Amino acid sequence: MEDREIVKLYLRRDEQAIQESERKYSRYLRSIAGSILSDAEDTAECENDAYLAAWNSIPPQEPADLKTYLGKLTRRISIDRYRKRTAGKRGGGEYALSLDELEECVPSAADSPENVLEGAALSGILDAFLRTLPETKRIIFLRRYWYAEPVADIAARFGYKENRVRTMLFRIREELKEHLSKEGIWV
Amino acid sequence: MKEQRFSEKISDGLNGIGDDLIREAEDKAPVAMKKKHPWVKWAALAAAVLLIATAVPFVFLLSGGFGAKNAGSARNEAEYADVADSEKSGMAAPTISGKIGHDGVPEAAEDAEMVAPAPGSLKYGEAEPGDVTFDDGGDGEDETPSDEISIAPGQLTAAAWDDNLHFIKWRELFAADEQGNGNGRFAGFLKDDWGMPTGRRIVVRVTKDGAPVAGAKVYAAPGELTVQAGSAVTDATGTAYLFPTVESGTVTAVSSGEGVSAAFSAETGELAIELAEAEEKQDVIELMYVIDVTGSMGDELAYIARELDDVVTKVLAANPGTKILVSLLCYRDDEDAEKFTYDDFTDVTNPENLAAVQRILRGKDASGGGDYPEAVDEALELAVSKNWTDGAATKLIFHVLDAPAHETEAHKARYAAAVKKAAERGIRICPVLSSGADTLTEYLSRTEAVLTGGTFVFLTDDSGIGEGHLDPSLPEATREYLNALMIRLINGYHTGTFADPVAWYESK
Repeated sequence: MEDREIVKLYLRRDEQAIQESERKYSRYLRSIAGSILSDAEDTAECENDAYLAAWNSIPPQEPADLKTYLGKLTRRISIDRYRKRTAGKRGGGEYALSLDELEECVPSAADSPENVLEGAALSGILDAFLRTLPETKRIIFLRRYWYAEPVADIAARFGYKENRVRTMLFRIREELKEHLSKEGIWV
Repeated sequence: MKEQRFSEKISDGLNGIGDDLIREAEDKAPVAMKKKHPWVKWAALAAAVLLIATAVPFVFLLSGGFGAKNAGSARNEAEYADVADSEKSGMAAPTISGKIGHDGVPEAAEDAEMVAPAPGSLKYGEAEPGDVTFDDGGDGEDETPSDEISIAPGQLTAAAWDDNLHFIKWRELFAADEQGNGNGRFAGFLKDDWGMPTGRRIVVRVTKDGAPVAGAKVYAAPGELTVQAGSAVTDATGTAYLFPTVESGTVTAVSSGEGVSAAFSAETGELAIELAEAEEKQDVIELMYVIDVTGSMGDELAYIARELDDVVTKVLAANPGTKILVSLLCYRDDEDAEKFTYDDFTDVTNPENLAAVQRILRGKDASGGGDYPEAVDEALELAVSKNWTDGAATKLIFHVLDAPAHETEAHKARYAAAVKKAAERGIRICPVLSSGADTLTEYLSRTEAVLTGGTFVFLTDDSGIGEGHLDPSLPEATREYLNALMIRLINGYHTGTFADPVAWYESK
């Protein structure tokens, strides 16, 4: 079934919307949650929570891109669960590793300590930064930090050696750090 | 509340970036390729060398040795089979230009010509086909090579896209100003008049007692005039797409009995017509493969032919009781000695006919061409003029191509006429875009499909077979195995219910 039709089911409050979403996107959503949580039971629960969140948010939302909409819900819910699960201690798994890497992007507080930014404004800056990158670098960055995909898997996708991917990611993080500094951002 | 780490804020911030970026990272990220085992390569190479060593003396002897002439043209069916076997062996050179009659007797058995194999004439892809299978096909009594390399089906990957179901997106491809300048993928082609406008479309749904009517003729006319301004035939869902040359007028639908007319306006774009009488849908599938066999197709033609062969077998198995007719039209270009070969429709529910079709398909090799455009227009003109069934049968052309038609006015006019004729006859064209195709070829292919109610199919790089494939930027299209995709389309067009695609990496 086309996404547009599935969204119409949500809008009509037809529960088949959830079945169709699951049939079409279960694998995709599980891959997102699985990378973050590394636990089958948690992954399945987050997937179900994502369908419920979609049910509760459409309407009033009417996503133009249902797949990404569900993907974002799943990622957010999975990250929330990850945080609850690891509260007070350092988490494990691929997502934790990717967070550790992102810590390197922190600009010097002296650059602009007053400009505390998060939420939509930060998303806008990240969005703008990503659009300055060549396509391959952008995809690699997002595979790593949006999808929390292991470096080895990314390397296999592109036919690169792992070291090459690590180097690319390192340079992109450096560019991001510089970009945030130039923007005068401190998050 | 615990203070968030910097990285967590960045991670959260990433959740708010544009959907298009997330889709891009999902859809454009290459699929991880499995590494081939080195032994596969070496085994294939060894087998190829063995075949050459075995087959060259054999052909030498067959041709009568030094100074002898060709071994004559009239050969019995057993000899025909031998030649076909040696073709399958990968030696490729003994080619048969044959026809299959409706009676099931391969005419090629009577007039096939032998051509001596050229040393080293193994086709691209056969020496390193990715996954090769080694079959012991010989009985040791004839003088054909006893071992053969055959290409397994289910290797090529492809995706399907029905622009008629995504018509707003289709129109966006032409986004441009009046001068034809714009950012639409096909905007540049607006300046070139290919005579196949799709700007006005009427979706006509024809029913009888509320049930879809297949095979109803539907045509548009301006007002009361009888001049047709677009004509098509409904598919198994009772749907036909008309592309009228006028803004408004009447649409008439007719099956059996009297036609029913209704006013149309290109603005509304949709029309439903209920008929009092309708012809019953025939349980017949007519399938024509129209294939560009010029040299540029050489990187994957052997694989494509193997998939097409497999499709016929599987469609047969999936549709017991259905009459299935298959024909094959291969084309090259103007300067080529063998510009067209045609094998007429044959009923492949007869096992002998099926075997003959398979032999011919497996014997196809790529040669000729030269410049980039090929005789696409003439091939389609020929294809739609063939002996298609009148009435409510399922009629499909799979047009395998990697190059456009020539861009002279005569070629363009012939091309447009052929596509319109296909629509009038209810023949749906499903182009299969192969490696090396450019954006013009994509535009023309997709237009063929749009105007005839067909589906655009494009091979993808996921298989690792062939040269690079053009990316039509259709992220929602699932990458499937080509054979599974084609079977899905054929069954879908025949029954009106299209199965959901299964991604290639999920199907094995």
